[in-house]
Amino acid sequence: MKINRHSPPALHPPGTPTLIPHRDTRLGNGMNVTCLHDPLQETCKIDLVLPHGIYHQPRPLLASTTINLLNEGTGTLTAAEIAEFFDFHGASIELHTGMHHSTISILSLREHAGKMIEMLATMILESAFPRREMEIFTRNKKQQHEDNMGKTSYLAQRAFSRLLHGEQHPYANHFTGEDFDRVTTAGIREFYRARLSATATRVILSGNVDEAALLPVVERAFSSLPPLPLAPDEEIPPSPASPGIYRVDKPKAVQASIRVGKEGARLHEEDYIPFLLLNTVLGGYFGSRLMSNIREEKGYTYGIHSANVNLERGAYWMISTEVNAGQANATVDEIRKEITRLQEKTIPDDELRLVKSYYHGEILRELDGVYAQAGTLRYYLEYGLDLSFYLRALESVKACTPARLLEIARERLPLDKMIFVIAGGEQ
Amino acid sequence: MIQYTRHILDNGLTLVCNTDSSTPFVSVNVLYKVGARDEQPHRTGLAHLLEHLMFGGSRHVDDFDARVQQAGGESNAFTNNDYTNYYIILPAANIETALWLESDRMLKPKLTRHSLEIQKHVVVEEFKQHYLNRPYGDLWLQLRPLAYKTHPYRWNTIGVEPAHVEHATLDEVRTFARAHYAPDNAIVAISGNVTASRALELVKHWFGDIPPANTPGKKYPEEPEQQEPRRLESTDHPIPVPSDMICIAFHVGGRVSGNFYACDILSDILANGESSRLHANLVKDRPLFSEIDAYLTADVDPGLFILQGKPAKGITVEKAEKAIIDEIQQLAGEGITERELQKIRNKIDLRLACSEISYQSKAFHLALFEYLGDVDLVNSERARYEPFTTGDIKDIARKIFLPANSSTLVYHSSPTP
Repeated sequence: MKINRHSPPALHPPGTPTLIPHRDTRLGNGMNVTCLHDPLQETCKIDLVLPHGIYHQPRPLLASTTINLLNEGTGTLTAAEIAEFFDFHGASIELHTGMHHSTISILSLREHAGKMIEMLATMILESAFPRREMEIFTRNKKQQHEDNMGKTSYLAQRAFSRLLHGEQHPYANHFTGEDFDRVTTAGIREFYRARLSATATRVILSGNVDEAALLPVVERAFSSLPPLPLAPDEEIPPSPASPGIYRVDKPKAVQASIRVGKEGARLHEEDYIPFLLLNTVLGGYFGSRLMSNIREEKGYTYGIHSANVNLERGAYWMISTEVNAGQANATVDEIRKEITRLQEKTIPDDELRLVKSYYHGEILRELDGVYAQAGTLRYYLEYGLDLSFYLRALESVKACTPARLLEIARERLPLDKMIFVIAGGEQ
Repeated sequence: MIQYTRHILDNGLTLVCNTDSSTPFVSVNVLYKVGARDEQPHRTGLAHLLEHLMFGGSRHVDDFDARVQQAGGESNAFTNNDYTNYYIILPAANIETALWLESDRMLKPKLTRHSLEIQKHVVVEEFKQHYLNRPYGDLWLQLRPLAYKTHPYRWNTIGVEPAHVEHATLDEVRTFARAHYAPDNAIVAISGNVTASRALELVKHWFGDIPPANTPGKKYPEEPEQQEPRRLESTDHPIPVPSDMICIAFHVGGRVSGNFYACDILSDILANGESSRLHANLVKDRPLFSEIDAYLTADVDPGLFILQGKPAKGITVEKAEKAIIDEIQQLAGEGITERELQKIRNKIDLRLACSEISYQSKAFHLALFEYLGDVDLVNSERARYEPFTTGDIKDIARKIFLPANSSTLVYHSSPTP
């Protein structure tokens, strides 16, 4: 058969996601357990979400140091013994400190899941926060920080966070090299215990989950976690610097790092999904306007991206890129032009159709498979939502018109409200 | 167990297909058997530059990326010393769009002067971003020519220096593409929600009439056995380096040799997980390093075993380096325990169980193992680790960790301004 390469194959619209049902259980002490089961997996993932975040720390670096010491020794086990336990079972453990919550994730073969839960509970309930391990940890992190200070990208990001939220705001997460020396085990213990609360803790079991066998293990292992009531996090208003251009000096840098941004859209806001769609047009995918212009037409950069970051008590929106040192100012000009274009001309139908298709595919990818769904569910549960959020998001995407996006571009992206940070490059 | 089917079309194109109906997506992975080792020493970085240009459209495709995105998909690629790998993941109903796009750029990519000029700039910025504008970014630019004297692994995929990319001509790019981008030098691997028969029918339809290049088989100059220790003290950095760093490279076997699997176990024993020897002994027990790692480059031809670490503040390079050497000598002298070996086997089990989870990973691994000469490794790789005893691992350590087989690169921190 002769092929006709001129006419592209017919396109089929992407379908709707298949959501794996999740089951929620509340234990006697108030701890929440969520299970997502997929019998095809050989592995099981355990995520423990604790109510300890950067937002709650009385001193810089306290939250991340605390969380990272949870596998560094208990009353009966040394750091080496805990490490040996996970490694010998072939399991991997990850510790992540977030703004409002922290997560400990363990991935293991399903037959070891029960043992993993028991060890996790021991770490949480009997953590010793040994001083020696803390000193090694903070010293190494300090060295890493000093190494990072040699990168324009790190310098730009730090300055941007500080300017956008205000140096004292928890979302700025500002710290200096000296702050590493000021963390104490007494401070860690106090911070940890004050927020150790069953009612504010959640375990998510995903993958191949034998719920009948594992729930009793969770119940038993965590039974002594106290049902301490925690007050909801108060909203701390940001105190941003005046809009405008800020430069961070970095001699000899062959590239400049640029960050541009302002307050962003929050999850509960009516225009949240439309704004994400608008952001996709501007800088949220490979074919975005910023990429097409600044990479594919001008060749100033290897990449330029924009993103909206929703947090529990605020949100920000940011463009980031690393560009040829001599073209930092030209890049800023082009960024301005692209934002202005979104405010002056409606997005052509073809382009919007393409972005909607891409975004639809992106939503399906975010929900593809049990681990992807467990990860996104963990996020939405913190807002009292679940994955049905995405079904509404798909409707919202479909309904979005060019006129509405033009309006949002004007409301959400005024250039005179933005902070520009340029680290390195020409002055 | 991953089920797959394998076919070779008349024009030499290999197709490997796995059906995974647990996902609504499909991954179309196209691997070209060409990488930086196929370049000439005076024009390095060409394979990677060409990878960028392959997204610039083709004979019947105006805008490659837009076509992928309209189909709800996404696409990317990477190049290394041995091969160039492209993928498109998209809703399975649109698989034909991916095959149309991939076959058209295999048939006739649009290689124009304009897109060459632009992509040279983009690649030079990539060069700066990853290799020049960050502390230690130039590690591989320095280490490769130290460890290799003959084999093309002596240069990086990105190129020896930005000038190699800047001076590439359209003719060079076109000649390179003609020689290497053809069905008889490519593997199409598909995994996702499509039946094997449908995939075969569609691949035959879209790729069947593309003529083979019949480029003669490739030979790469063999790296002669290293005879004495090599050392490079690096003090002149593109940008200041805050801490010292030590990197020691040892020559090991190629990706599918038995030696590779034994070395993989060895590198896990040294540095996989917090209970591994280097972490337990040199970061925690005696805190001489702030970070340390051991890994293999996993190249097709004989590659490198790398030990790499930053001495903790206040620890001299001499003391830190001696501690690493002591560790590997102890390994070579006294070997490892049964428990250590069992631990690594357990870790490998989890790693392999995870690589079976996603259709993207399956499509890529099917293509990779087909390229390595045995697609069934996708299922049988676990068995490759089986035969080694603790004694074998000790023997391997003894053979590899020899001063005459080592290339040491030391970064000396820049004086604080």
